[in-house]
Amino acid sequence: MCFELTDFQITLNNEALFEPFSLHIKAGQIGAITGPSGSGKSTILSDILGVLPAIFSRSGNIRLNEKDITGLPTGQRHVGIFFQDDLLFPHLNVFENLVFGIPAKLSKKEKAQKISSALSHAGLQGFEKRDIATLSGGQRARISLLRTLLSEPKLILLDEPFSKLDEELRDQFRSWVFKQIQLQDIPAVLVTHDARDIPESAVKIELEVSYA
Amino acid sequence: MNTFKRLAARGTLFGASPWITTSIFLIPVVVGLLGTWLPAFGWLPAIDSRRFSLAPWQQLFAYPGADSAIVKTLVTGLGASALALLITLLILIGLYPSKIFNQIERSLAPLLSMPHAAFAIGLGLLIMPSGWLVRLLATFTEALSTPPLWTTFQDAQGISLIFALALKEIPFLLFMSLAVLPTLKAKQTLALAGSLGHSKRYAWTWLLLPRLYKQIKLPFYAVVAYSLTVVDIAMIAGPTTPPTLAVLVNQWFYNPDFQYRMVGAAGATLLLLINVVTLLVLHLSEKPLEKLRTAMLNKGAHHRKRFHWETPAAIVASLSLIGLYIASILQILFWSFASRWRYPDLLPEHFSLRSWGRIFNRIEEPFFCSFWLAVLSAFIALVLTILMLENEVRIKQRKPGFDAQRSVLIVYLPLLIPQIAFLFGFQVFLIQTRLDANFYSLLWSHCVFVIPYVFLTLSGPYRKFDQRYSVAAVTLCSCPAKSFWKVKFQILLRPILYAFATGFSVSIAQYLPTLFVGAGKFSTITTEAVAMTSGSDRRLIAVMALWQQILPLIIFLLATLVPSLLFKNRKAMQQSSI
Repeated sequence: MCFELTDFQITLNNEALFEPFSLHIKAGQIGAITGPSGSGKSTILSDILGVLPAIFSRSGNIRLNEKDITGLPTGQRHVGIFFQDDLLFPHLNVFENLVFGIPAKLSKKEKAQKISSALSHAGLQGFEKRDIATLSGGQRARISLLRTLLSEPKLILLDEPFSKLDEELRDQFRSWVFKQIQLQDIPAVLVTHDARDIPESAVKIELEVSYA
Repeated sequence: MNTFKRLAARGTLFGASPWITTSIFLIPVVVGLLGTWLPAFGWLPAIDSRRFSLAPWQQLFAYPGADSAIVKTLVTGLGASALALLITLLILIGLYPSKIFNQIERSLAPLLSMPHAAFAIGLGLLIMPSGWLVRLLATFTEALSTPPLWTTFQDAQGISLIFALALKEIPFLLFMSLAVLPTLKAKQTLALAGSLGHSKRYAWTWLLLPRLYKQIKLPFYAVVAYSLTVVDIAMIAGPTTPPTLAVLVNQWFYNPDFQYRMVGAAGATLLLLINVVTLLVLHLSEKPLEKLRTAMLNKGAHHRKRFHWETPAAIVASLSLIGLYIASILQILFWSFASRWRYPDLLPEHFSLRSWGRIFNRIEEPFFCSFWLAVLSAFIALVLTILMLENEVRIKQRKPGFDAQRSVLIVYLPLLIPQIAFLFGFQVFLIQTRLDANFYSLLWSHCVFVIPYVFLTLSGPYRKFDQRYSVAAVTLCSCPAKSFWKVKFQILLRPILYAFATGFSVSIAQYLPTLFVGAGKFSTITTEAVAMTSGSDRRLIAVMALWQQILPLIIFLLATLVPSLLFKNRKAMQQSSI
């Protein structure tokens, strides 16, 4: 599995947000995009997801596993996203949240097994029936990532994933997230303004604001 | 179903929804207005009148009591609107934000759900010389041992009509204000003004009210239009000889002499004119008032120690408001079960089910007619509203700067034009196209008034929905339909059901559309209740008013209970955010 952006640039009213760049990452690898606020980091993720507002336009290619995905609707891109807010569905319990994205072809029993083992790997065994609102911020963040990974995306996007967690939790959670992504063996694109969030091994892209 | 899916997939259904809705509104309004204007100038081929003339207008102004009816219309309509606005503002200034206010907020839904006619009937029974209020006074004084000869209801000055209208509109204006207070940052403004040494009243009067007024301007205009031109409430609570212009117009339309159709059309057009001029004057007076405010504000604040009367006054006002609602429901309830209830007794001597039994024989048909009209019109309105709001989401996705407020004006249109100004013309149109006395035409006419309220109730919470939930859901399950039904629809279930209940109760409360479009073939519990108020036994009137109230109340109860039960173990879903 691999993911690439080539000569990628986004423009707003004929003005480029940043200098064009290319990024090529393989399964288990993380591409980290940094840049000052307003440089268009999150806009890049919207475009990869397929929800770029029409006032923006893009040049360059987005390819996932050698396939151009720019023409596909969001639901068919097999791209997962992890926001800084967990966005767990408040009307569903932990199990229902997790089962939401699991491919339908699996049997009920297989789904339950997957969820139970994912929860215990995350140190949350037996949490299936818990109400989301009763969980701590750290627990919610972990369940949210599990939910994304269980939907078996071919690429995962991380949008400022750690910025809302407190210092203590942050280091621990960060290394857990990167480990999970490696286990899943998919490429990941990380967007952050904090250099500490970027692992050593990451392919780094620093956006250059274009003043053209 | 397949075509539906294909349309939905291409987004055509979303794009078409504003057009479908607009035509549901515009066809009856445009056709109806034209169909009223032409007869107003003598053109009504249905009765073989094909020459334009001013005769209907001359007949209108020559009619005994016409001028007094016009004056009464202005006095009651403007009086009620002004009173409703002032009390709404008083309650906001005195009590927002506070614990009492939260209590009031919670009681708004049942108050709003009460049909206008039922409330007017209850209020009437309560304040009549033989009602509870006088009976209560009679326990203190010998002087009232026989019912006094005061006219406290349907008085010639229209005071009881003003009160009935104002009391019914205050909850609506409060509800509409509540929706916009967060966007005005009212709490923050009050806190800031307080830290600068200004009183709450100063902050409200000079900083918040002008902005609040701008936001609730359209609902207020709807209140003005309604108060000036309402027929059913004016028949129940208004003066009689002569009544208000709207009631007079309605009588002309139903005069056995067909010539009066044209006088009625002229009267309806005059009412429209009065309405348009009033709203225009209100609109034009905004700029000068704004200049005045800026001038006053620039003079600086006077830090005089003054008595803060507004909080106690607001408490009295809101307690009386809620008290009157409760008292009138209880008054109806007691009358409906009373067999013998002598004057100054506070309670009936004997209770019986006789009145309920007598009504039961004649309720079945109107009951089911009301029920199906309300269910279907609320459902159609809900589907169209959700499609339109989803369409908005789609447009915003393409153009983030899109201003959704523009669509609001068109939604308000049916609420700003007097019903009586176009329903006659619409009826003529239906007769000519042989669509009259047809259930679907009746349903259509109900939708015209139900859709705006459903849209207004749902659009706030719907637009506040965090769209990232939907993005997350689609990326997880790859299916936009599943992500809508399982996530967005369910998270918004509470406001969606609430909007449905609102639409349902609006349909139940409709009087004129059923009267005109139903053409005598269809009657609802509301048309029956209004028909009974002239002359029937007050026990029977009470039973009818209760029936009118039971249906919306049950639906509102379900709309609150269902989500509470469904999400009883979900803490984050418990706060009732309507």
